[in-house]
Amino acid sequence: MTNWRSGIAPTWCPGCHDYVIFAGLQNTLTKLNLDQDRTVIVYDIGCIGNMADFVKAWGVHSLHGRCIPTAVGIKLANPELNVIAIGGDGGIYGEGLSHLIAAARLNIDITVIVANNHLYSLTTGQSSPTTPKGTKTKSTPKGVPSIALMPVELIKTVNTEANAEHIDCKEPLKVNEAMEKAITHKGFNLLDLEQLCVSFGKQLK
Amino acid sequence: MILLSDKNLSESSANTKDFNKEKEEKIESQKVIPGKGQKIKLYNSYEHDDEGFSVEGAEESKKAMDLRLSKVEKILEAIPKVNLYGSDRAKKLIVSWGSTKGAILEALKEMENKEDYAFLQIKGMWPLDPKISQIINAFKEKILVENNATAQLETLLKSQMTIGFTKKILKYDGRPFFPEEIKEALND
Repeated sequence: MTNWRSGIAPTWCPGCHDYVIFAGLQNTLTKLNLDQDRTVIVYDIGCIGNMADFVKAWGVHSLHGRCIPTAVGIKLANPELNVIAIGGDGGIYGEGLSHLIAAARLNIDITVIVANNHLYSLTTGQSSPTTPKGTKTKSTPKGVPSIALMPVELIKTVNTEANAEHIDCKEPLKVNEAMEKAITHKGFNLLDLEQLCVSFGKQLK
Repeated sequence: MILLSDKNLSESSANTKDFNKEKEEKIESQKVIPGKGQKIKLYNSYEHDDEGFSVEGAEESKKAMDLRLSKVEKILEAIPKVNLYGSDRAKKLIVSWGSTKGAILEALKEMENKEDYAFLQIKGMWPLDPKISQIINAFKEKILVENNATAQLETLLKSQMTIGFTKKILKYDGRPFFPEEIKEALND
């Protein structure tokens, strides 16, 4: 059985839903028995991006918002590779939103996994594109003025063939199933994983 | 590698010599990439160990920084060298960079006292070759020609070495230099 763990212990807060995503990915990679030499994971910046150190697979710990173009480049260079991009709502729906739309339009066969806790939480809780309107955060003391982005609806509008799903991390088995479906589906995949930041997301409960 | 260019250069075309295919293939074969059965690696911009995993120790961080700094000498060997046009015993030296080269050489052709001038084209900006200082300071009169408002090359040279220009010819109206303008400014 292939070992997908680097041996480095995760540094996330106790109770963080990133453990669910990490465990889900480990389970899925093991279950699908992917060729480790042909599996590349591209990580964005943020708490979930720190998974780069905890997984044993080919990887790139890329720039904030740029995990998708890096993943697209890798897939184009060698279409035989399994390519997964992992990031948060800040990187993928904020800085990298146009990359997400471009990849969905291209219907390129990659899986984008988003740890969506509706905040920039590595930097202790500023508002992100998916923060509900009116929420008070460190960067919006009077409440968020904008309407929250609906990523799955957006991607389905852009590409009706894309596999785009919203799953709550409170249901780990569904996370596992959705990951398996996304990684095996030929074409573009967005897994929007609902989570709550246990340290800085209490106002979103 | 950062290529410093300008609009005048990027909108021009020129013939180049054939790129070395053999060298490219050699680089391609040495790449550490997935799917070829090589040892798995994480590409990481954080300080990292041989496998690419992040490290945070003080000693490891210093070691990684020292390794990067040690590469500067090698980069200096590989970086494009200066071009010196004219005699190294000329009275005056024109110093410039970028797309001004053609206009300067054209202007010098037309100058009556062209043997008074030499022209130094700087092609490698960073790391900056310390030898540039010796070359420039061997000339009595030093003239700077730059296609920008703030004499950016002068700022760079002054921050790294002792150089004083006797004359500065700057153009910053959104247009490239014309040879006649340089000729006129030199005669001014």
